[in-house]
Amino acid sequence: MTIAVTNTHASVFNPHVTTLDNGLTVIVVPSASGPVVSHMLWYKVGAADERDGETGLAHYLEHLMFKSTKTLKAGEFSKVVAALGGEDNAFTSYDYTAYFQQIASAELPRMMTMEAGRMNDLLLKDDEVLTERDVVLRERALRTDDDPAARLGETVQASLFVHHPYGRPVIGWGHEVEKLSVQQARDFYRRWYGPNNAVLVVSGDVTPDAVVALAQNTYGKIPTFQAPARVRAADPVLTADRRVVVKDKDVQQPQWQRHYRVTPWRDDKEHSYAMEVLGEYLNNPAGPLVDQLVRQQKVMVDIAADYDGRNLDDGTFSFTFVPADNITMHAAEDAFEKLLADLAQKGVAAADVTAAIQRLQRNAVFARDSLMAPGYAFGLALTTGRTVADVEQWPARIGAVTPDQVNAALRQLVANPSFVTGELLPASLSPTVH
Amino acid sequence: MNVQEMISARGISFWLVEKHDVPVASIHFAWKGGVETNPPAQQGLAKLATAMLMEGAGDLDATAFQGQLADHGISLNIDATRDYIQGQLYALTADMPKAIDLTQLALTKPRLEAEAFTRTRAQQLSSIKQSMAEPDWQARYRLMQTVFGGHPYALRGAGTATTLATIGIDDVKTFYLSHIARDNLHVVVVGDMTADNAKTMVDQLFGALPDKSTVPTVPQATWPSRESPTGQTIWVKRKGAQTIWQWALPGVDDDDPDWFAANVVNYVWGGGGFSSRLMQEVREEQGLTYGIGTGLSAMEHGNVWMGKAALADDKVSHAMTYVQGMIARLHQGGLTQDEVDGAKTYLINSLMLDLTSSRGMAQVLLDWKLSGRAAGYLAERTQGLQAVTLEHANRVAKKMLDPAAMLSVLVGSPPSLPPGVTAKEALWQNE
Repeated sequence: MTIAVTNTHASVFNPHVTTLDNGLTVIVVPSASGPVVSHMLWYKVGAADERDGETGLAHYLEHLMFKSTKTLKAGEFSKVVAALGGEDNAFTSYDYTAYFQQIASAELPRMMTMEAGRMNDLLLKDDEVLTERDVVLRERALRTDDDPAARLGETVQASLFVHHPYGRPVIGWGHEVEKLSVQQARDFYRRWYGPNNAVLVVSGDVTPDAVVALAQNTYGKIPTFQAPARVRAADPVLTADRRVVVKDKDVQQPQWQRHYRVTPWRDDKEHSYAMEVLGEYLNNPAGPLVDQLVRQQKVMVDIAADYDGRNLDDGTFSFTFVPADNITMHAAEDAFEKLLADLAQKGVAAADVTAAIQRLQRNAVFARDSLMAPGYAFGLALTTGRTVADVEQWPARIGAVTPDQVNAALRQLVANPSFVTGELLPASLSPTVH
Repeated sequence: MNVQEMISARGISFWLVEKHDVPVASIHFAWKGGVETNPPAQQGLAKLATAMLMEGAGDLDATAFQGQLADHGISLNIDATRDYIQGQLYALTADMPKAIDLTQLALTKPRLEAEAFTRTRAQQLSSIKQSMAEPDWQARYRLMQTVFGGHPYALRGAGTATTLATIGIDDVKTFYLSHIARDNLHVVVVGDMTADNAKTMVDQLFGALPDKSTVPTVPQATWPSRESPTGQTIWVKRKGAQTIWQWALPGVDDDDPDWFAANVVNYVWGGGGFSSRLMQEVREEQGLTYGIGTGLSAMEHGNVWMGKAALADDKVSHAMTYVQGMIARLHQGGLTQDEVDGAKTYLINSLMLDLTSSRGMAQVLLDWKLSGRAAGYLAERTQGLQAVTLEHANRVAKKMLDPAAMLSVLVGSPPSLPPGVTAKEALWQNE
C-alpha cells in the first residue's frame, strides 16, 4: 500500500502542453493502449452560457455539428469515423461542449481535418436544422418527460439555482426548445466556436511532436476570434424551505434527495478539496451513512452521498436515499438529519480522513488504465477555470487535506441554508409534512 | 494481444494477457449457470445469492468486508446474468494479494447472516419496484415473455415480490453448492502480472472450490413455436410522453456458419449507430426518434434479434410501417457492396477500442471463452468477417429478415396502428 500511495503523489498523466498561435490549447498524453488514439475537442461553452429564452441551444448546436459542412454531408462525419472502425460522439453540460473520436492512430490526421473543419465551416441548412429539433424533443421526452425521477431531478435543480443558469435543464425547457431557430443556432455558433475558446486533448499511441504538427496544419489555420466573457448571474442565499414533490402513477418505490448549493472551487480551493474527501467518506459503503441508517437502524434500503465541484461556478453536495418499506419518508428524513448533525458535532476521525484520502488517490493510477481518461480530466478542468497543473497536482492537493478542514466542511454543510429537498412518490402517497 | 493459455498447479485452466504499462490487474471470472437455472418459484435466487457474497465473510461482517475492499481500492463485483454468475476483480497490482484474500473468503466462507439476508432481499425488491416504473422494462418483459413462453428465458432474473418472499438462506447455500465449482469455472487475467503470479493467485482464488457443479440442465429455447408464434403485436396501454416500441425476430447461434454475415446485416440495418439504415432514415432524415437500433442476442440456450425505438405517440403507426418497409427491402436482397464493406471494416477494427483497458480486454476475452472460442479467436474472428461476401449477406438478410415474422411490443398511447395490424392488449406489470 505504501508503494501505491507514493506513486500517486507523482504527477498523474505527464502531459505535453502547447498553445497554438491562434490560441488553441493542445494537450498530448502518449500511452501504451494499443494502436489507437482518443481525439477530444472541448469548447468553453455550455448550457449556462445561453441567453434568456434560448435554453437548450448549446445542446441543440452539439447535435447540429454533425450536419452539413462545406466539405461533409449531413451525417457523413460519423459515417467516415465508423467506416474506419472508430467511434465518435459528443456531449454537452453547463460549462462545456465536447466532441470525441476513438480510432486507429493512423487515422488521427483525418479526424483532425474533419474536427477542425466543423469548427468554422458548419452550414446550418434550414431543413437539416428543423428536422434535428424534432430529434432533440424526442431526446427530451425519453430522458426527462417520460421519467418521473428525471423530472424530480430537473425540478430540484431549478429550485436550487433560482437565478444562476445552472437552474436550467441542459437539454432545455421543452417550450423553448420547440421554438429554437436556425438564426439562433448560427448566432450561438459564431459567438462561441473558435480555436481560442477550445481545448484539444489527444491521448494514446501518439508522439507530442507529431500531434502538434498535425494540429498546426489543421486547427492552426483557423483565425482567432473574439470569444465572449462568461458572465453569469449569482444566486442569493435561499431563505425559504424548499421541498418539491413528483407524484406519478408508475412510481412504486418512493425516493428522497437533498441537494445543497456549495462554494465554487474557484472561490475556496482548499474547501473544495475538503468537500471531495468528505464526499468520499460519507459515500463509502462501509461509512457511517450506510452502516448506521441502512444496517443498524434499518430505516433505509440504501443511501448515497455525492460532492460535485467540477463546475465553473457553484458546486453541489447531494444525498439520496430509498426509505425502508415499513418506514415513513418523514421518519427516514429525521434519522438522516439527526445522524448528519451528530457527525458534525462529534467530528470525523483523523484515521477515517486518511483512509478516504488514500481511496481517492488510487483513482489517479486507475485513470491511466483508460484511453479517454486524460481527455476527460484535462477537458473538464480547462473548461471550468482550472489548469493542467490542477489536474497533475490533484493527488497532492487531496493529500494535503486535514481532518480539521473536513470537519469544518461538514459543519458548514449542515448549517448551509441553500438546499432543496425532493421526494418521488407513488400517486397514492402524501408528501412529508413537517 | 498475446493470449497465453495457462494451467495452474491445482489444474485450473485460464487465459492470461500480461500488460505492464500501468500497475493494475483485472481478473474476470464466470461460472456457467445463471438466473435461467432458477426454478419459476425461485426467480431472483441467483441474484440474491451473488449479492450475499458481498455481505461479509469469515471474521468480517458486511461493513468490515466492504470497508477493507474500499480501503484497498479493490473493485469486486459479482452478479448473476442470464446464463452465468460473473465476477470482476480490479485493483492496483500492489493491492492484488489483499483482493485475492477477500474474494477467496467471500467465495468460501460467506457469513449469510439473517439480518444481512433480510436487508439484501429488501434491496432487491426495491430495485424491482424501480425497474417496473420504466416503460422500457415493461416492453422488454412482455417481449421476452411472449418470445420465450414457458422457457426460463421468459422469467424475471431479479424475481418478483412473491418469489423473493419464499426464498430463504438455505436456498442460497444450496445455490452456491450447485453453481460455484471448478468444472464450470472460466477465468481470464489481464494486467501487470507475471505468469507465475497469475497461476498462484488463480489457485488461491478458486483452488478450494468443489470439483463438480450440479447446475440444473436448461433446455434449448425454440422460437417461433406453436405456443409463441411470430408476427404478433402486443400493446400495453399507458399515458406518457412517448411510446416505447420493442421488437424481435428469430436470431442466430454464434456457432452458425451465418453468424458473421448476420452481424454484417445487423450492422447495416440497425446495429451500426449513426451509420445504420434505421438511424439514418428514421432519425436523421425524418426526425422521428432520438434512438433506434437492433442487436443480435446469442445466448447459451436460444437466440433472438431485437430492436427498439422511442417514438412520439402520433408517429408510431408511420414509423412501424416505415420500418416494416425497410425490412422488406432488405429481405429482397437490398444490401450494397459499400454497406457490406463498411460493416466489415467497422466490426473488425473497432474491436481494438474495447481492448484499451485491462478491464475491457478481460471482459472481451471472458465472453469469448464462455462461448467456446479458442484463445486465438481474434484472428479467427477477423478472417470470418473478412470472408463475408455481398451475396452471403444478402442471402442471410433474405432468410432472417422476414417482415411477417416480426413480433412487436408497444408501451404507450399511439392513436392508431399501421393498416392491418391488430394488437393484443396486455397489462402494465406491477408486481
